[in-house]
Amino acid sequence: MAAVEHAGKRVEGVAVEERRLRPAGHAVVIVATALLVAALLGARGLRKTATIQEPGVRRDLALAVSRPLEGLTHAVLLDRPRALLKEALGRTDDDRVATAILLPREPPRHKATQRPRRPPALPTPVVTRAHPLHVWIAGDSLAVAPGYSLTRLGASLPLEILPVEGRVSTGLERPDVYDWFARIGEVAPQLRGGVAVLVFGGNDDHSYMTGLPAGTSIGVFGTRSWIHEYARRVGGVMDELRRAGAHIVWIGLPITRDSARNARYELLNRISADAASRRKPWVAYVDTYRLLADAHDHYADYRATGRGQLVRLRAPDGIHYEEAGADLVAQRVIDALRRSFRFRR
Amino acid sequence: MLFPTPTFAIFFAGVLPLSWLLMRRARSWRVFMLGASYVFYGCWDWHFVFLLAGSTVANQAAACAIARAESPGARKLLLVAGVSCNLAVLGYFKYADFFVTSAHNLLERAGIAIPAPIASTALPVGVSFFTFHAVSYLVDTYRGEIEPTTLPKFAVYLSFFPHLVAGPIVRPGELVPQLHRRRDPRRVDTTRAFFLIAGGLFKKLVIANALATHLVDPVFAAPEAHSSLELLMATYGYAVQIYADFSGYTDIAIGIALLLGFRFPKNFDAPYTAVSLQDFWRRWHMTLSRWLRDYLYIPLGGSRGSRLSTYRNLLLTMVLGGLWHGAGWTFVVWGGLHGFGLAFERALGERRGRRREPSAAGLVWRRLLTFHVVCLGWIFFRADSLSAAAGVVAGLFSRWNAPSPLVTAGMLAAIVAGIGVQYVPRSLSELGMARFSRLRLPVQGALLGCTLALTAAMGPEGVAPFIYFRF
Repeated sequence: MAAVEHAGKRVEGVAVEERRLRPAGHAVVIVATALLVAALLGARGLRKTATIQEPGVRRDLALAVSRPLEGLTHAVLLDRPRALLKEALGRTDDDRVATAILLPREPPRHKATQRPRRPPALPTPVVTRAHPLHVWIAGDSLAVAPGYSLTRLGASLPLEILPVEGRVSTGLERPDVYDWFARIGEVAPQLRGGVAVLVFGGNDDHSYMTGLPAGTSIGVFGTRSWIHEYARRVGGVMDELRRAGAHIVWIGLPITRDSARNARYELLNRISADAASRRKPWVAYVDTYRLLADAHDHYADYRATGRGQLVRLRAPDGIHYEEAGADLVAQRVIDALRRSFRFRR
Repeated sequence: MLFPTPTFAIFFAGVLPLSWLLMRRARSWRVFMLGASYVFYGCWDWHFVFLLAGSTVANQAAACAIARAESPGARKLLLVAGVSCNLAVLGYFKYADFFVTSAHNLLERAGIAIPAPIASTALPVGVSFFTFHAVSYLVDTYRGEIEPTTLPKFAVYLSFFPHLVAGPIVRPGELVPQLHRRRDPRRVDTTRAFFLIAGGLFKKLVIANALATHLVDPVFAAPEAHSSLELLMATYGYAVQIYADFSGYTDIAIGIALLLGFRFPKNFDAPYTAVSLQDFWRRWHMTLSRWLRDYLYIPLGGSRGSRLSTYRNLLLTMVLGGLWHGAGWTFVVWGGLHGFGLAFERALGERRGRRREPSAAGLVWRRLLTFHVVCLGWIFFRADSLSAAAGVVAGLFSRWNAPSPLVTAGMLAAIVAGIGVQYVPRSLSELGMARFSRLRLPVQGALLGCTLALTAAMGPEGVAPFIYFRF
């Protein structure tokens, strides 16, 4: 027999019904039932959460549970309420797990015997308040702070900056976590004559890559096959935007507190810088690695400003930017934009 | 380990039955709960488990020494030493960066060139909260309000996972006696626990996250690029976001503790219905207000001295409370604003003397005024620097003609819901709980499960950290 609480008979002067207290065993049963119901109704979300984890035992275990659960709930239509709700919220892609990526075909490479052609000179577009430059800042979490800094520092320039899209734990390596290729394909047509400021690679320093072409396998991080596939993705993103008539400013990865991570980031930076240099003048590369290193090319949390004041550049995790660091990066992006566009009042 | 994640759900689904099963064996229960709490804490950074364990042993030793000391002088000396050690640890992790940059800048101004420091210190999650718990334990022991308990019980008190990382701040006199006596497994307030947990998750995952992502963060990151309407709505939005985020966390914490058979003090009581700043602080982060009152304001002299000394004590308490949130001038201004406001209200009250109750219109006016003073404070609390805060305040009056794409129906609905829910009479939620408590078990489980699934579907992908984790 469940007990009854008598404490709350009158609340704020109003008589209220008494609340039944339950035995602890009931609490366990209700919690177990609730978790089961929530797992059944949210099985698609659970599968996505399991899929996007780092490879390992934990991911395997999570997938082993969530895959059949998703199949079961789909069969009995228990996944419909979540799907309908996502549809009503305009977020149908939330639970999608991309298994393939769509990239434009690579432009033909020059033969080694041919002299490399100089990049074609583009006319410098004039940007005014009446015809502002549309700027889209997107990428992984390293895009967020520089994106906000650019919004702030660029407020006095004729720029129309779209909402910053910085997605935590995403990149070009794992379209199953977030499909940037599809997102860039959606945005590219709206960026004709505009600029995409992109930051990728912060979460791409692993061996596990999804969305590979059928029948393809790659080696571990840093092997030739891995580099080739990653370069294909970086180049593909640049080509997609370029074909739509957008300029690209590619922000490189910064030096971090972890020297092992730095070695991986330097490789990713080389791949991006190389892809950018082959697509000049459409693509500009901003080197943040040297920008944020100290005079000896070492990591530094702080830097003295021109007036001798010490400011903090980096977040406590030793990877992300504080506002002052992000401002430095954003200023470099503005410099790059000034080289490609003529700003007029 | 964050509360609104599948990992925590699995963790808690295991801890809940085991905790009740072991309840009859007090020693085993303590070992189990201590282990579970350390696992919970170690999921962020296992290195800091040693800091927590070290703080436990050191504070227990200090409390025992205080209790054993016979002369008042020795007791006081031990207390000062114990509290200073706790504050030194807190200061090292929380304020080292502030002191390093300030010292560097001061020396630079004096013409002494020193190299810039290379690395900063990582802040352990929840260090402020467990330090405050430890200081409470030492001071209450010194005052003779409690006797030092055993080391295992104190270890569970300090590291008990529901309150460990972001409160509520539970006084030793409230929790330690609950560790002494056996909890009644036949009388668990499951309904209130479920309402708190489900409501807390909804507040955090749906309201706080949506406001942060779509309105508050973009506006406060670049106030110059936004219209006056966006700045105003982002300010209201932040008021709702921080309430939903923090009260959501503590609601979940209180609910989880209830399911384990423990009662925590209330931490929020409809703060935006407050009719004065004094009333606001009786309703906002109530356990911190109480802590500041008992361990700072009263030792400073409270209202025992002259009027001026009372105002000074109010101001000092609030400024130090501001600095507790972070080493920065924005927090000093936030605390100072509340301190001045509280002193002003007190002075006004003393001048007017006792008056009859205000009319309904007077109450509405007072609520609006209090809410807007609190919102002004939130601008400084949220802004990255004083100049950024000044930019927000200035922008509130200068760009009313600019477009406001971020002010959407969804954002307005979240703000109205976040404030409106505080005006729902408590009797209505009590009625809802009473009805729910009479439902059959599977129905309760199914309803709770549907609410969890709905919240998870409406929330954004991933879980943003709780605001108060960094304090």
